[in-house]
Amino acid sequence: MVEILLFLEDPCYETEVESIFSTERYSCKVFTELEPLQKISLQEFFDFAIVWGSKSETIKTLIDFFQKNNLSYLPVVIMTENKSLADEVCTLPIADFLLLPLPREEFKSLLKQICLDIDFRMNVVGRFNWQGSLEEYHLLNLVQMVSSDKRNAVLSIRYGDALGKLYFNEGKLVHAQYNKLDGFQALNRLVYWQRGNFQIVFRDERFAVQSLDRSNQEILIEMAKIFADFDRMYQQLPEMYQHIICNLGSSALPSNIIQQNVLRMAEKPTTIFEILVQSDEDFNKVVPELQRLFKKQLLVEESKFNELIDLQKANGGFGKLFYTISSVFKKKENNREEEDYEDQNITNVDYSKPSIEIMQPNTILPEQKKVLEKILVE
Amino acid sequence: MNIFEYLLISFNEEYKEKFLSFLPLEKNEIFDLIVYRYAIDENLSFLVYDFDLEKGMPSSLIFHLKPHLSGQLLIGDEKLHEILTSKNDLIHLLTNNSVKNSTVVATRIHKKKYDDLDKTIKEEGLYLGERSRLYFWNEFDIDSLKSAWYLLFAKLQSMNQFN
Repeated sequence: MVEILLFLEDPCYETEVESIFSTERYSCKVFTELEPLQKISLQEFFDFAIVWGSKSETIKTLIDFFQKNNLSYLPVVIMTENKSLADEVCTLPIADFLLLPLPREEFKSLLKQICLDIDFRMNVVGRFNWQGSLEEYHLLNLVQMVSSDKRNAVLSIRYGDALGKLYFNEGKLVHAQYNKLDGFQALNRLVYWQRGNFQIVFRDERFAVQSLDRSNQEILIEMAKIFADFDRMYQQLPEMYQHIICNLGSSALPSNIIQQNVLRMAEKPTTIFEILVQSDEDFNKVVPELQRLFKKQLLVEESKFNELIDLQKANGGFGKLFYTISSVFKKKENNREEEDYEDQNITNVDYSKPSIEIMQPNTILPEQKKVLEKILVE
Repeated sequence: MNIFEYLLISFNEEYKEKFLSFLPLEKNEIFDLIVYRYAIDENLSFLVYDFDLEKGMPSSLIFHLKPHLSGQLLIGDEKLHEILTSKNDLIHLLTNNSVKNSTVVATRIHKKKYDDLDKTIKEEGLYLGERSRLYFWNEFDIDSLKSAWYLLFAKLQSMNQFN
């Protein structure tokens, strides 16, 4: 029996929906209001949830509720007649998306497939989460969890665009991949992740790739060592998920390419975790540079940034120089427009049509001619 | 009034003087930063920031200037390649937006080698990117210096920026 929690946006379909699920295979609780559905989701166990409707807001609200109440393992399937909804919800952690209408038989067959898929995963991992948040399960625990199952599996962990994958053959961790890195180099970049989502997908076929030839026990000990090293190195730095920013007012210089790259990433508010995830270098190279940048005040916590800028202005720092240069030489008008755009209230923006820049044929423009004539005459 | 801003990085003071000598540049100095202004007419001017490799530049200034720069002229000789591929992080930081900006890598070569160059290569340089050229020059041919500026200021300048 598959237990389904179903939210139905339009109550007029209630009878029809109930008839579809009124078989021995399914037990479906249908709700047309979010509040009672949320209440029951906290009291009873369900195999998955279906949102039958076209409002992305409802889907977001429901997924948000599940995440806040430790129900993020609950797969959410969207059924809708709204084609454009796919674009709106594609970034959300949804398990499946069915575009309606479908012939009744095809619909039943697809639903059966979804149930089989979920059933299979649930049986394999025995009611453990097969997808969820890294805040709940650390990678070390997940590796042990998959290892104990002795099946072929891919464990994916994702944070934003960053994606790491661990491959298991009959429970043995055989390969790890992160961007172009593999083996321990990849594990080195993944082991300290404490945010993001994970997903475990079990497969029948074995994986041919192999970059880790040690036993799981040895790999786990190595991972634990890497994690301990990270923990030890991560001293005197702000909390990993706190917003930080590059301090433009500092007169100090970045002293190497890692520092420059970090400062570039921090031109807009970011977090140390995001810098570590995006960086091409290992944490054991980046973390010491982060510490140096904070020491030189080239990086600061965003909350302290304004305070620091005021202080630098009062001391006549380089902020003064910016204004002096700008006032001596009139800036290009298009730069002014960009600044104005940032200041505008987003609701009042009159968006211009998207455009691309295409290089013109190589003919001499009047301005080019002017420059040529002037330079040649000199 | 259009003002376009450029960065001048020279690995040899003598070479820099040669490039600056024949243009009627207005020299300004603000907070130790030398800026040359080259006015074409009342509607078009170029600013050239002289990057002093010895003194470097505060990061605050680099981050301030970078978004405004339309390009950069790097002047050196046959050793320029070694310098550019060395770990001079400041140069990498300043020039790493060369996809968007115009970049002329002006390399001084021996007169004989220069004379042997094909006319098109003399005028256009070698293609490094959509707006980047490896350009050869020798002081015996004053036009080779002028063409470098023309290449930077006009030919590689984004067509839309003039409009």
